[in-house]
Amino acid sequence: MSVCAVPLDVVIASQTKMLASVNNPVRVAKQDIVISKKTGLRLYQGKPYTGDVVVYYPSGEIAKLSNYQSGLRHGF
Amino acid sequence: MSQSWWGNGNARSLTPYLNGKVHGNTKQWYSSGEKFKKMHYQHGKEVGLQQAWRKNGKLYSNYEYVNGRVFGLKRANMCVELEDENLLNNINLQSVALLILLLALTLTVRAADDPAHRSAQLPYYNSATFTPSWLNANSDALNDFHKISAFSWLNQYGDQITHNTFNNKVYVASFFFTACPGICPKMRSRLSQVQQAFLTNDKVAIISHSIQPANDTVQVLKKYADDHGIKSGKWHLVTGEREAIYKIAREDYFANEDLGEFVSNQDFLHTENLVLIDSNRHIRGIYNGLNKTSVSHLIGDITLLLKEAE
Repeated sequence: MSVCAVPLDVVIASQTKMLASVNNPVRVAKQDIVISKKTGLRLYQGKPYTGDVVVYYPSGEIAKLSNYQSGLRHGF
Repeated sequence: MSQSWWGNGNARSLTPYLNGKVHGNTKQWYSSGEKFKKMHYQHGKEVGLQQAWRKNGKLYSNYEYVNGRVFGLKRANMCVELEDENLLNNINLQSVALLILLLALTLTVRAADDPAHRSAQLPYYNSATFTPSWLNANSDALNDFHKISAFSWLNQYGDQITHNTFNNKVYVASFFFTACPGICPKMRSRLSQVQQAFLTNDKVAIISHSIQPANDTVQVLKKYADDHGIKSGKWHLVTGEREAIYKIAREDYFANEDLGEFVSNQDFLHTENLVLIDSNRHIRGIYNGLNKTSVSHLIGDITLLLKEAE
């Protein structure tokens, strides 16, 4: 259970370090995502997005976290 | 997975997705932490038991989606707590408008009466939560299953109307009062459609119980019937002992406060629901008497019950 005990933020942060790059972020803010008018897919920098989209309250508290795969919401 | 939280940090919703469509069990909570909704989806469509609760924990909506159709108690969506305004600012209004349009289209299509999606069988109901029980007509479980008790009322002609009046018949039960200004006239016009659909079929009847029986005397009911095209022998407006009417409303037809909406009547909570009773006095359906689609389901279900009785 030690793995589960690691706070989510720490896990995300380490993943972010490993995987994140300008073209392939794992977590972006909602305002950086656009919905394609043709396909309805969620795009990040013009490409269907794979990763997490977050929305924060002005207080900094998290409001929403959604997982996307190839521009579609996905995951259980 | 899509998760959201209220501004106070409490969980707000949990929604699993498969390739862009809601898939699996979704959960929603009030900002104060009480459960709000539990829904079940498959590939973006409601399937199975769907439930919603008021903040006080009382069941508000409780229905099953089977073959694209609702069985049980589905009500209009409650006004949910508004999103934090600051959160709303983050949402592109254009996409919201598009989403609402798409949603409206989806609902319209789903609400359409599609005969291919008709269930071949109707469930039974034995509680005020109207959770469907899917039993066969010859099931032993029906031997001591909830049924409408014996009753005796007077109709608009002063004739005695009892449970025997409905022997070998399928009937629709409702509750009203003649002085009711708001929902009763709307329900009456929906019930008129049911009357019209089975006008020449003597195996189908309607009974509307007055919930102000002291005011709604036989004479008052007669005038009401004459004024509104309520047909003799087909649609009974009944009056009787107040206590007996209230008892059968609550304990037998489950027309109690958990399922009806209050109106400005000092002594009764009124329900807009119509209850369908089969020839064995079992409850086989509940319908919103104000809703066109729901009443068209009622008409279809009466036909199903008539076939079952053959």
